[in-house]
Amino acid sequence: MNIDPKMFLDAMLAIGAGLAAIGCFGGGIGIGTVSGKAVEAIARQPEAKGDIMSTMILGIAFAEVTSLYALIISIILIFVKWQ
Amino acid sequence: MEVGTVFDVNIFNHAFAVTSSIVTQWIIMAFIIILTLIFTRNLNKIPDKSQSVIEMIVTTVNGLVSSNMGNEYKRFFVPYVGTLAVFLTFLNLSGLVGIEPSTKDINVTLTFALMTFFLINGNAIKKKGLGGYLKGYVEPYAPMLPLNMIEKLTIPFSLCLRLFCNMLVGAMVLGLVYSGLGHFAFIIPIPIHFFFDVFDGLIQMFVFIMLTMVYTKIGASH
Repeated sequence: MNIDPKMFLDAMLAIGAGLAAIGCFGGGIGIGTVSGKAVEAIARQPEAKGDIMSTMILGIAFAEVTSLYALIISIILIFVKWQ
Repeated sequence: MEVGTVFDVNIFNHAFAVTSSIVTQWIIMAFIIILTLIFTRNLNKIPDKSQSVIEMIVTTVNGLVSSNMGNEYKRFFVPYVGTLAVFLTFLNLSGLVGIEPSTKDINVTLTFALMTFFLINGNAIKKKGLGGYLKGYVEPYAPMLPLNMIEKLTIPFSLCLRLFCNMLVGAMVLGLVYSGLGHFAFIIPIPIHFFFDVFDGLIQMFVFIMLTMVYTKIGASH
């Protein structure tokens, strides 16, 4: 049977983009862990709130980057390679 | 994802495309320069209201640099970090007035990340000398050489991608909301603007300058 090559490419791109976006999963887990530990630390010592909040924001930014790498692969596949 | 070309500049028979993100940056640069000239017109020893705001900003940046990097870096890094903070704030928040943020173009964020890359490595070479800098690649033992090189490369890569992806996602969601609502875009875009433009933009600016300071300090220490 004949498979149109353009349709085959589009189908593979869609499957690949969907699989790549599974990597966004890890960002949510990481951010939730960091925030939970920060809340526990503030509850133990409320005077150090400013320092703990700064460290938490930095930790969230680090944890978010890995899921953004997965998202950018998925976006590039859909928007740049789709014909 | 694409940015439109506004006009072409011909230098040495090569056509350099001036894109809309460059024109946006020129407008924001002119705006910041005019604001600076207005606010620093008459500086008194006893500050009035507008001068107090400027002094508060300078004090905050001074405090950030001296608490994260120590006092010997204050002379060089407070102007750089302060300028980066003000410029990135205006670039990220320009979505509130209808201009699409320039940082959704990867060329803009790659430039910022490259500036930080040169600053980190230049500061490391200046503080440790060229021999000490090259010896730092084989510490603690020689097979760590590829890992150290990869680490030096992923720092600007991750800085660039973090800012670019966050701003691009915000611009895409807002584009979808506006094109979906059409003429009825009244109250619904407001919380979306607040989350993606104000909150995300300010946090990404803060994270960028904190990581610049922390990486510079780490790069010159071990």
